[in-house]
Amino acid sequence: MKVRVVRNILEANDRIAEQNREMFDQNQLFVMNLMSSPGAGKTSLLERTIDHLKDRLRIGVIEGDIQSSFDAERIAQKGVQVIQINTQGACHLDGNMIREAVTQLDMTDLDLLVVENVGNLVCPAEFKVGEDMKIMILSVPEGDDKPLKYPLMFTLSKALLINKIDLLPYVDCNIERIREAASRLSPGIAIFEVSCRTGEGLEAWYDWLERRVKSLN
Amino acid sequence: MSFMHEMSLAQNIVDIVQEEMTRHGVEKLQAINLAVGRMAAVVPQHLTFCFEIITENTGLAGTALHIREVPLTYRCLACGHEFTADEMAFICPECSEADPKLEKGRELTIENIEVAD
Repeated sequence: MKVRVVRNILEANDRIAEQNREMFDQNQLFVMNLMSSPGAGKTSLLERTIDHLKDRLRIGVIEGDIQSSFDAERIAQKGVQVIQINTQGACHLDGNMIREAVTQLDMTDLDLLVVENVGNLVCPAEFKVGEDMKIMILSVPEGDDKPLKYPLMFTLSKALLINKIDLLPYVDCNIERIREAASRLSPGIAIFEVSCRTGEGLEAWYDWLERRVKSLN
Repeated sequence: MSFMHEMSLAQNIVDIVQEEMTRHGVEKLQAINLAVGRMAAVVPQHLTFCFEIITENTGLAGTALHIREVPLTYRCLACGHEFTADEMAFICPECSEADPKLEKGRELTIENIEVAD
């Protein structure tokens, strides 16, 4: 005998993410879920972004790592609120981890909360944390085939930063191919070609992000 | 916790199934039937493996986990043509417009449970 169920396997996480979202909305807090593979430049982008925007926006960061607190220490030097989550092996952050972490933050004193996810192009896309939007970084040494190899994450992202463009002369990467695939996967996605090392191209990203955060507040 | 996120999914499946078993007064299952979209970030073999591990020595031990893979299914917003594809599609094979919308392929659903005789 079959018993009809029809329930989403991720319903428990989706429910917690929805509660997080309501809590963030009540605090007029804009939340960005930042995703990429390991080493693409999430923390470097955050350091630059905080330096540029911290006089105009109150920024907080939740750092997700499997182990260690190197990234949180880098961010703490910028003088913003930062919480480290060690996932003890799990390859992504989920709604529950974020719900617990934010109890250590003063949300009333923040305009923008960045959740720096665990470096991974696969499963962070499936687990909502209650974010307003997902943002991705892809660095050019990773190759221009990544959008089509990991389509889900690109499909769900509102912006894509193509990082390390200062390395373009040394790697085989066709930026147009990335742009075309990302735009097909996520129509209207904002794409920024940047170098977090030299600072090239980041102005447009800062402006875009600031407008997004202020349109909510 | 595990490096494979399939472990979190397996735990969620167990939680939901146990709730349904209680609700329907069922004691022993033969199988659990899932629908998993081709675009869901799931490796079916990993999920089966994780499910076997966490149900070992529990009432669900030995329950089969059947995974029905759902192909990517598109409907063209320009001409209405429906088609399935193994890989991401961006062009409608019928009218060649670049408007296919993904309708199926992201499922992560428990469809039903089969009660043991």
